[in-house]
Amino acid sequence: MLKAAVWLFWKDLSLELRGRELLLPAGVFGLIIAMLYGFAFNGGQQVLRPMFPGLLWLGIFFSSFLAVGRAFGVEAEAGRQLLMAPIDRGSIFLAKLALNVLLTLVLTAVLTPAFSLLLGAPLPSATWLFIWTLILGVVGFAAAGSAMGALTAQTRLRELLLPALLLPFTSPLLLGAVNATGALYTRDISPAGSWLWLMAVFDGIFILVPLLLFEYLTEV
Amino acid sequence: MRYLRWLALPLWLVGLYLALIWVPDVRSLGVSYRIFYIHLGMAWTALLAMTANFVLSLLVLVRRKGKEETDRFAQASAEVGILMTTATLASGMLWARVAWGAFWTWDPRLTTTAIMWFLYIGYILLRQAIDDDARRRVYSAVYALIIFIDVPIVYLSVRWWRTIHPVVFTETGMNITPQMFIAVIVFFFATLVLALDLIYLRAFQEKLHRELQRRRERRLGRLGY
Repeated sequence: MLKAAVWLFWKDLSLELRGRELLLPAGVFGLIIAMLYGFAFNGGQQVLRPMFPGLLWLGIFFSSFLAVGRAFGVEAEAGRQLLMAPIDRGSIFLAKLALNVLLTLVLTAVLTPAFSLLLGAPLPSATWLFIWTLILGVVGFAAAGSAMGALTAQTRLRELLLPALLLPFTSPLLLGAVNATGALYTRDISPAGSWLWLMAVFDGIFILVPLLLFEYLTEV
Repeated sequence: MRYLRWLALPLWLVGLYLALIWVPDVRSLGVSYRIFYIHLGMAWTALLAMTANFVLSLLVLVRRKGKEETDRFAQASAEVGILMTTATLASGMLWARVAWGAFWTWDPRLTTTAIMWFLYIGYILLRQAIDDDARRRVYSAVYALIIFIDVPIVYLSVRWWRTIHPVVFTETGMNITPQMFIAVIVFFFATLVLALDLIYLRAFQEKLHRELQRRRERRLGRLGY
């Protein structure tokens, strides 16, 4: 199962490296969001700085769903060829999940410094905790995005449907990420701990459950 | 099951009498709190309908027989659940305007209910976007399982975030008098019976709808389309 997943992951990764069809548009979109924040909230870094955790995570989520929705879309457009391969179906989901995690991590690594520069918020001093917050938030979003992407890939409305399903679904993750990040900017960073736990639980559940259920999706 | 309707109506009338006339006013809240009887009954019924949707969706995936029928009931219970959730939100917002001074507050239950509403609207949207019957059945069942697991996590996260909703049942016991409790229970059962009736009605309607579609397609096929 793992071996097939690694090969599939490699296939998608080389497709992405050759075409750069996902990262480039999603990254540019993320940067545009940062600019739009400046316009929409009337410039002024004094205004934007207190809102930085929320603005950052909205930016990450919005630009990420452009990327995660496509992972299964590629297979839907190619027909159902992949399902003919004599491999465990779970490995398909794992491969897509790994790709989504990687893509969103790269996006976040680019967007976070850019956002903190444009919105005038220096990165928090608890660097490692901040990196953990980013990873937990992004992995959870990629996991939920892979599940919802698999569900919507074969539907008529694909790109329209995905945000309507995915964004309410990930609201606990957004709350966790924003509050954890916010806590890291205050003097007492201890509240971040329970939010990080919440995100870790979300990540674990929504990696495992879709992985178990994915087989059903491939049977019809 | 078609007689449920005739049970629901008198139960509702009794419930209304109990809630509006029989139960005394609460001093701190005045008359406005009486909407709470309808509100609570709807809220519980909504949660039960969503639970029914979860169990039925699980059956769709696991059981070999009767998938078509189970799927129809899963769809019907989600739809009735959405109806009840909408009524819960509406009645809650009306009360909140009087008691808290604003239609909307970011209270955990309110927020969780709203997110649950969006998640189940997504269920309907997903169903509508899939044409193939077998695929719609399985995909919507998988989605139903995933979102049902999400709801308690949403609640937990919003609860950590903030809390001001009145808690009716605490660890030490009930915050209401026995008289109020009777009115709550009657209203709950009235709403539950109504919901069951609606679910059966909707599932039956869906059966006719699918049958009609099948016949139309067969007819068109015979005509050479």
